Amino acid sequence: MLNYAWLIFVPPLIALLINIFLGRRLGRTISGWLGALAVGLSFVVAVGLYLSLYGLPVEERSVTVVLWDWITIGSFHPQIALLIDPLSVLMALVVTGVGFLIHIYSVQYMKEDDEHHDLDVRRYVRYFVYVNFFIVAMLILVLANNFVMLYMGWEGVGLASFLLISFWFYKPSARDAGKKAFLVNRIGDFGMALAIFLIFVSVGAVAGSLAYKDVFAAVAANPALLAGVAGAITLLLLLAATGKSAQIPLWVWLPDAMEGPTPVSALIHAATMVTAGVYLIVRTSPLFELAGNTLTLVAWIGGLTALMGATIALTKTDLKRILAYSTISQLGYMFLAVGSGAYAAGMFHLTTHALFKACLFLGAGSVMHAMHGELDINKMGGLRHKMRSTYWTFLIAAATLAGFPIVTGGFWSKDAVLIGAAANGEWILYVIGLFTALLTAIYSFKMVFVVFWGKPRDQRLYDQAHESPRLMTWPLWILAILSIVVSYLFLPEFLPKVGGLLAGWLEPAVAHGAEEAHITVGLEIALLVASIIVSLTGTYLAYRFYVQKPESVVSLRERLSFFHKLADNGYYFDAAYDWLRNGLWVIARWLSETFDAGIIDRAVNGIARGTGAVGAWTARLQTGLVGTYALTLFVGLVVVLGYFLLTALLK
Amino acid sequence: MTLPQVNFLAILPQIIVTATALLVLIVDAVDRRGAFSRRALSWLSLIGLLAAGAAVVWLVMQGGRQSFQDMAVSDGYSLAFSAIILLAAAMGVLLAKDTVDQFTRMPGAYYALLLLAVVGMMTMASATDLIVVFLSLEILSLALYVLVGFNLREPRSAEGSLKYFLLGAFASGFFLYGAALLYGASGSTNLAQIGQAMGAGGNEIYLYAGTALLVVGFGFKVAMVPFHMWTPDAYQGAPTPVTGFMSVATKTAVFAAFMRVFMQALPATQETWGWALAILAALTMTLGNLAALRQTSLKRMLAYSSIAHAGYALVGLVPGSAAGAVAVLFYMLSYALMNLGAFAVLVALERRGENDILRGDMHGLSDRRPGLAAAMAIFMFALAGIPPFVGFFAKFFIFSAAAEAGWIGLVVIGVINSVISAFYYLSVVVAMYFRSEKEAAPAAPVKARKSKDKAAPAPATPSAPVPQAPALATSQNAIRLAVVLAAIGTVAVGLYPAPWTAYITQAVQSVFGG
Amino acid sequence: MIQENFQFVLILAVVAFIFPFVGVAVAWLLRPKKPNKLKTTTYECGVETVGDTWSQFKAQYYLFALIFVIFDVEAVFLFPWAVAYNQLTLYALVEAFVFVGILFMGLIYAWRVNALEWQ
Repeated sequence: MLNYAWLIFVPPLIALLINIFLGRRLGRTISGWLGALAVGLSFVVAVGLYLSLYGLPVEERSVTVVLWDWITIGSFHPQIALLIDPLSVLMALVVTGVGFLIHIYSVQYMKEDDEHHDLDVRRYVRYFVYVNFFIVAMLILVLANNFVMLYMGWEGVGLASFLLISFWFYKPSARDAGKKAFLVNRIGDFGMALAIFLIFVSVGAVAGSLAYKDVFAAVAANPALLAGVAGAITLLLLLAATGKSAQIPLWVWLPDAMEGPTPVSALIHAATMVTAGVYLIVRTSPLFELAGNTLTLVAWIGGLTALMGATIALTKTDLKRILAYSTISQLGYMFLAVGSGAYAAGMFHLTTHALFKACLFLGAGSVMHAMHGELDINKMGGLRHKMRSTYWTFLIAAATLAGFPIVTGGFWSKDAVLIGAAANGEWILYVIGLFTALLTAIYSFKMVFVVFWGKPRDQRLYDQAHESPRLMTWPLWILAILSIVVSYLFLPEFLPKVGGLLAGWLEPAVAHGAEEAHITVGLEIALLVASIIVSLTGTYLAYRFYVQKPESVVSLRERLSFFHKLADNGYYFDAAYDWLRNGLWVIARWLSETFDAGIIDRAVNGIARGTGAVGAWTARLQTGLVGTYALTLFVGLVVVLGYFLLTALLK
Repeated sequence: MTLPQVNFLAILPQIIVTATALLVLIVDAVDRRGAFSRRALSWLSLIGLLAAGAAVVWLVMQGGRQSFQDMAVSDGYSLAFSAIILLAAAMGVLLAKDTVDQFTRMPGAYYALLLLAVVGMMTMASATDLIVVFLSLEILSLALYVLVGFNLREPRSAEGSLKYFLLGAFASGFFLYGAALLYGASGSTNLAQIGQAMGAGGNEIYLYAGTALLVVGFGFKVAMVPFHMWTPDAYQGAPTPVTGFMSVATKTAVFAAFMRVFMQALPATQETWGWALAILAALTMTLGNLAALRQTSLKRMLAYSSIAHAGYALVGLVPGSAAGAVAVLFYMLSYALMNLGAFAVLVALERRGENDILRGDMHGLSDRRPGLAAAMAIFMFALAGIPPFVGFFAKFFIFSAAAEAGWIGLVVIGVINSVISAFYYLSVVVAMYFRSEKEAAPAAPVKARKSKDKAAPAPATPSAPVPQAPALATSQNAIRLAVVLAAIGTVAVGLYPAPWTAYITQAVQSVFGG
Repeated sequence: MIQENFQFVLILAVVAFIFPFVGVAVAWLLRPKKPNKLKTTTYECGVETVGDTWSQFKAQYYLFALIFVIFDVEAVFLFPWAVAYNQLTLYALVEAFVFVGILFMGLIYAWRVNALEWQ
């Protein structure tokens, strides 16, 4: 089975080609289902890969499937090969599984997208071409066995993301968002390319290829190879990861990326592509272990991003934006985990996050359809009576995001992240993480309460609201159920029998720190209890703000400051929001917009204009007169002949 | 008296193609107005080319070296080039199949001339004697002069043809003069013998002067700056299938002879011509790319881009090493795939009586013809040298061969140039994918601006959208086939270049050693 | 040696290049200069041209001349073949027929496309 791993690429590729050439004739339904089922087949293959890998003894669970020798340049011998190991299979399962459900959802969603009236069949087909292309590129990214293929996949998903963000390119905001995502990601990709180049220069000759295995083996055998460049390489890889995963300082593109269709936000900008940065760090963890300081930096970036993302999410009233900042915040958790050396915890959170965040985004899409494109939560309310499926699935997913104790996957994965940070001795980061968990719980339930509970705030919209068709609610249910069920595969290690499944599963694929820090079971249970308390507190606070006192938005702030006097932390919440908006956020905006637009754009434009002018001049040389041509030819002859004769005479 | 025994095997492919050309002429002549010949001519030419291709494959499998009187040989090197030329010719036939009636009333002459040009090109690739090089140069040139001017309804076609002919005759004269000087210096026209004589020390002045004139002669044919002036006019004026064919096949053939002559007969002056070619290559790349930036006519843009690509290929010739020759051969293969693909797309889009495609015509192509747009995007990415398409490795080999020999500065210029080239290749992709058809209308003033390039007086373009002329091709199937084949080749060879490079390396090493 | 022979050619070429300039220059130095209108015209004698001097020839002339040249050359090539006919093998006979055959096809083509008719 493993030798046929390449089959995973085939269905989406075929569907993509058929849709390119015949899509218009097939019509919406067929081409949409074609794209969706292709990803479903890929998921089947991924499950097959998982099962056959599971059948192997633990130490053999890392299989390189060579597809073909790419090329041979001297001793350098890169191959086109896939690395099938627990890590890549887990990613493939997430990508194809969540991807499949989102594809099915899209079949209906894109059809009903009446916000854009001229969405004709060609654009519909093109949507599926793009998302299938994304699936292929993402699978290349996660299944690659070497840095070059990784880079190709990395660029491929970037291209797909760019195409899909600006999918409605007649909207200026969509175009700008696409451009912004493209520019910011370019900075990250630059780091990636430079890092690969450095690896090639320092290790390539010894390793004989850029396969992870060869590189890590060469480095492990002779750490001196990386002397002096280990820090640079890992910092550049980190830069790449922050770009793709929207971390400080390159996070600014992700909120704007919500200009794309909602299923795209769910698939690319929440569940899969943005986690590529986390995957990158886990995959290259042997290099990061060599440069310990970088890992600490990863953890701090993650922690701070988590906190900032959560605070911003708290203040937003646009449903998709709340989810976008929440994504940034959750990605920060993953960075915090991998930065603390808790790779399994990071991957665990990545998996649960993919499930519940996809569910939340799709739910938001469902609400958006019901509300005719309205995304402001202050115009919603009471929708639970009209949209039962959407409500229940959204509630489950939001509870998972909030880390509702014991029953949800989000609780266990977030707890694993926090314990990882604690085990690493990063208690400040632990506290930040715990505080962020509180904020997360508040804004998660804020969404539920404001959108689905209470009374309708806009009666006209409410009257028109309706539940989405089954094709859209079924994926919601599956995702919601999965986000609870899957969590039990990932229970903590101290629980007998069921604990530590994922950590054991990932064992062969990730690096180990020199001495793994362990904490006692007693402390772990104490931390667990702390998580439970925090999560429940957050839920209660949300309930108190948004349900018990459902006063107007204006009085909400007063209530917040009032609550601050009673319960200590509320003011910081508001202040952090202001501070973020006026401080960091402005700096970030300044960095992304002023700097990019003002300096980089101007430089690029200047270069383009300069070359253009030279081009015009060269074109003018082409007078069209045959006499001039002959003269040029003759002058050229004289110069060439003169040069040769001069050489001959001087010899 | 007996005639010397002749090994016809060495020129078997040429014989097959010649016979096909004659057959095409006769069928066309006998069946003047018949519906039969209209359809049959293209098929006949295609079958002839396929048969020649089969002969090439058979000769490759035979291995070894067949020599025709020491004048021409069939070895791995010549056969590899011949295969590329045959590929280009087959594409030229496919592209013309459903369009030839729109630009000429003499389809038979079109196919016959194309086939005869192929004969000249293949002979050029296998020539081991300066006389044969010159002979084949003239065979292919005469056929191409006529082919360029084949579109009688298009004044620009005649203009391009005349310019090409006048300057070409000029350049042929230089080439012949150079050959004569080399003969004077060495006492032989055979490449190997010239090499030996020069190695033993011959007359320096004649040798150097002869080398210089050969550089000019070859340089003219591959469109090397400053001998490139004919290229944009001839390429733009010629019927598009001809442009596609000649841009690829001529370059391939001439580079084959260029390398064989310079590396086999003139290694003694390598240092000198290496520097000359390096400077000319840098000029060629830079000028070609800069001029291409401003073109709105895609044919003219591709003409300048072909100048730039000749510059890249020249970089491979500079070190005069076997690695460089391998790189050039691979470059020609990849250039054939991606450039013919691009021209095939242009033919597919062309409309009756226009003989050109402007960038504005590409707007919204991804909506109108998604398959064609995807293919064009592949070709543009490949031409820009973006992995994983074939153009990437082509450039990579060229630059690494030059870098190996220590031409670092040249490589830097080359890399900068490929960055510049990405601007105009990608602008086509942007036009196809991020501009809607509606935006094509404001592009009309851009069309008018083309007349700045005086060589190409623009036809008066009405600013209001006019009902568009019907497509040039009466049926798209043959062209579609050509596009698909080129696209598959561009992707497949890029993804899996190993077997091709292995064969090419072997073919080159059997001739040049190393 | 060949090179030495060529050196004479080179010297001759240089002399030949210089010679006319010397002649013209000497004449220019020595001659009296009294131009008038008639003297400065391009041609001092003959009939004044009427109309455009760039008159067009009928393309048919070229076509006929080209076809004539083909058969002229054919005759030149066949002549040595005919002289040595007695000593030649069957192979040479076939060769000659192939040669004539190819040219014959050209003639057929020219005839069929009406190149032989004066229009």
